[in-house]
Amino acid sequence: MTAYLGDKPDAPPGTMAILTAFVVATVILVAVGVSRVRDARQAARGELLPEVSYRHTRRLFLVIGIVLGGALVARALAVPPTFGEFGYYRGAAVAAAMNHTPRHIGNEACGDCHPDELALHDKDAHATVPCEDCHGPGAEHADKPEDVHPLKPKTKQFCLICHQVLSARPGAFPQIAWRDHYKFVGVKDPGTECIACHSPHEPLFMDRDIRTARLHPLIQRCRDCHQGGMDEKTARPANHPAVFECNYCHGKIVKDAATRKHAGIQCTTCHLFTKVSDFAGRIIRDADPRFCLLCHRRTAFRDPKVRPLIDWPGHLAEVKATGKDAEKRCIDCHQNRIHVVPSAEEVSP
Amino acid sequence: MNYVFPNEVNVAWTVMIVLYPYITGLVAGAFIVSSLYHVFGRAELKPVARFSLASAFVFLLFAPLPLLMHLGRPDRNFNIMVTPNFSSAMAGFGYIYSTYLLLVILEIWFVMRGDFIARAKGKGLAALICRTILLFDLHEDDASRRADHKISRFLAGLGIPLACLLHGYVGFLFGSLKANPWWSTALMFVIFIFSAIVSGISVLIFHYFVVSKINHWKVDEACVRSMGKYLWGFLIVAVSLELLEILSIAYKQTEEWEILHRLIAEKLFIPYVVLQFGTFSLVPFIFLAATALFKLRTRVAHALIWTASLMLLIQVLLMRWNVVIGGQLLSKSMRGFASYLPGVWEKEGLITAAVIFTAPFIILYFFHRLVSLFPNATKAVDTDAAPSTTE
Amino acid sequence: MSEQRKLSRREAMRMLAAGGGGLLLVHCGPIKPPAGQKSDYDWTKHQWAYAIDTTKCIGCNACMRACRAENNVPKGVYRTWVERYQIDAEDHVYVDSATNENFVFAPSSVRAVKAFFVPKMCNHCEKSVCNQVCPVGAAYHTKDGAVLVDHGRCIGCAYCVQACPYGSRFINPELHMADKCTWCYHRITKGLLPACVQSCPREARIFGDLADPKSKLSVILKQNRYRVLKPEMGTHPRCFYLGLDREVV
Repeated sequence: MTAYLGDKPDAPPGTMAILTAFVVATVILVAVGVSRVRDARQAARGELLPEVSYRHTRRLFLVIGIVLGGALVARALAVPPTFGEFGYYRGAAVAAAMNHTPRHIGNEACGDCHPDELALHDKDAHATVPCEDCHGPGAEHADKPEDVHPLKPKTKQFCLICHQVLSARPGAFPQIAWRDHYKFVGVKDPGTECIACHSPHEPLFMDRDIRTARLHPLIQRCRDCHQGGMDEKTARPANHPAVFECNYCHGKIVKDAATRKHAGIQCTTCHLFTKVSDFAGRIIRDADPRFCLLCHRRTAFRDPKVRPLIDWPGHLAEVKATGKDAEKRCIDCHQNRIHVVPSAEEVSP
Repeated sequence: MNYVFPNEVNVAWTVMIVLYPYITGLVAGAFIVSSLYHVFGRAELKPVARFSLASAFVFLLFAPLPLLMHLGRPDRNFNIMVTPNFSSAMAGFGYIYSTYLLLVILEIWFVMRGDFIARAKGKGLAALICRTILLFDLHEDDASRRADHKISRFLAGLGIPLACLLHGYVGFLFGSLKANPWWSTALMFVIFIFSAIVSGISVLIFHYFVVSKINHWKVDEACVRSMGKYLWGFLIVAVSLELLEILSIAYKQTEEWEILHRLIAEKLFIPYVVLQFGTFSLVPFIFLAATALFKLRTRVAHALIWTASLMLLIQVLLMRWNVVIGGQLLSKSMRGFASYLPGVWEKEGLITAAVIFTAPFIILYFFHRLVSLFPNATKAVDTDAAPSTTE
Repeated sequence: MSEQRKLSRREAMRMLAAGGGGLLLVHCGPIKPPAGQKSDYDWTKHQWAYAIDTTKCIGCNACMRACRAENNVPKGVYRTWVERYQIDAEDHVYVDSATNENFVFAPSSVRAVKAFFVPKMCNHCEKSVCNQVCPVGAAYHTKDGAVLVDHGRCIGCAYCVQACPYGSRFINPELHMADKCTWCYHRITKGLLPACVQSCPREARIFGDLADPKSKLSVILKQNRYRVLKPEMGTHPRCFYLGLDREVV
């Protein structure tokens, strides 16, 4: 590849100069030649060559010579000192190009002062999102932390920049039709912001880093291929490409889940799946209580009629959970509302 | 569907870049007429020989102005002569233009030296100017006049390829750009040269008639007829080349044809198809054919030639517009068009263009006041009162 | 006949030749430059290149915002941008970019059957047309593969803008000179990534060193099928597109 690399392209470098010189030289030679032939013929015929004097042109050509000479000297002096150092350009330009101050510092630099936020961030769903994508360039803030403050976006509009449903987005990427989402999670006030439930550094309160979670065959949703949107309940035609469904391997659990309180919720809502390749991804079962609370926490903006709401951590006091019980997670007591706990062989067929 | 790359929404080359090849085209054309007399000995063109040379000169003086108006950093304009990158057609501008300007100045000096000397012997500012031009050497005799004649013939001959280069490099500048399918063609160099000659002859004819009318001079019949014939001939070549180019694109229908077809049929339909070809090429062609092939009454022939020259001035301007602006309306996304309307008062606007275009004519007037460009002009005879005296 | 000695043609020619020769001697070319100054970054040790995985881009335009902030790019011109392609059931193709105030793609009314995003930028071609057509030597190639503009020399003629087949160049409305993506040359020569690459939350933009066969970029190029934009132009771009659709120009 680098065979082509160069400051001068392959086009003949002196094209214009050579062409011009050629044309000019030809004309001069032709003109002079014709003139000499004509004079020779006249002389041969015995005619007296009429006298021609160029003396009156001396001053003119002297002035032109001085002007041209001066121009060429001026030109030579005007060429910048580093021109031609590396190629047909000013060598100093390279140093100038290198000399700007970077404005983005990168996550590691943010973590020097904000290690806790970075640790949370690196474990959760936004691990691949750079800090500066939401907070803006950080160099000025890193220089003068007290004087320059980065952005702290808070509105739904900002989150939707990435998470808005767009047909051009890969189907596997989490896209939220926010009105439907609010209906699903029981939020009745449309002015509620996303961060009222989802901490930006820990949006899903994952109980482990999904990048090191177990591998799982690819789970596809309709939208992965049907970018224009597809009703998940539509029946598949006979020649539909093969897609994994949970009940192919986990039939017992799926059948059981359909009889429980959480029937109708998709498996992947809690069993968070991230596509890693065209064949597999990583999956976790998010059992962090704060994940359950994303749907079940009682707040002013939530409609209690949609699903049972609890106060947290007030709920622990309500059920008189003390001591070791107080450290339990939701599923430790409420597994029966979701589905049976499978045996070891049943989890991985 | 109209998608334009985000950086192409605003057109980079404005009406100034339409004006620049137009003006250098006038220069090239006027110089060719002058050379037809000085080199090829077309004696019937003698009445306009000096006028065409002076026209070439004044237009050449103003040719860099549109470029200076356009440059983002006009203060650095000499970079093009200090470090010209000769793989770029545009780098030729500095040296080709300066050489050509020098040549035209020298040509005028040698051709009109006698007139300068005559005027220098008088009194007043005009005489002082002439003495300065002559570098205070007023000597002349037969020998020096023969020398002047020889040199001016040589320069006029040299000037023909230089004029072709001065205008042709602009054509090459456009034609060599593979990125733009409207511009990229090997014919562009030649098309520009021939349409330049058409515009140059047209401006001479047009201006000659106007000047003669204002001063009540007799229009030289043989001269005008000859120029009309040359104009007709060059028009045929220029339009044939332009048509050849577009027919070739339309026949081959490579991938770019999808968008070029839309460019011609939608965006440029009026300026290109209807105006440039349909009106301002066809009608002058008919007029000039009539005057060249048939014996018409003097008044009629003159009216037709004058109208044809005016229309061809517009045709060549339209051609420059359709090439320069048309090529930029077409987005490199091959999916849509930008739009462009020149502003009126801005740096690269219509007022600036009008000033740059009319200024040469004003300078030409003062040139004529200094040294007559029509030394042999005679007062027109009223053709109704006396029998016409055609030569 | 006067006493003045008349200059014959031969003598005139001799004078011209002498004068011309003298001029040539004076015009000996540019003054030899002093030794250039460089930092300890060695540009002969790298060959930078860029890969774009169009299957990963979600059109968040974080790259556009980061580039604008990093390089002070004025409004209305773009060093990088993202195109959205939507193809409906009748095979009509709709293309748009989010060039609005905050670079956000809005949902569109097109009933797309197939749709995707394509990030675009300067391709830093190996045989760049822009360098060829710059009349003053203000457009150049660094030895490590970046195509840059010398803002100390550019006259703003916009010939390079016309010559670029990809629409990557523009006239900076504040500097009145040609400008374009520089691969954040001021960052990559310090071991950092370009702002757009660093800001992409999806790793759709990959930057790396072709001279290092173990770099992530080299490995990706060896393991994937990729294309360049407008290969028929013969520009040999250094931006490689994985998963490039036929509709992308």
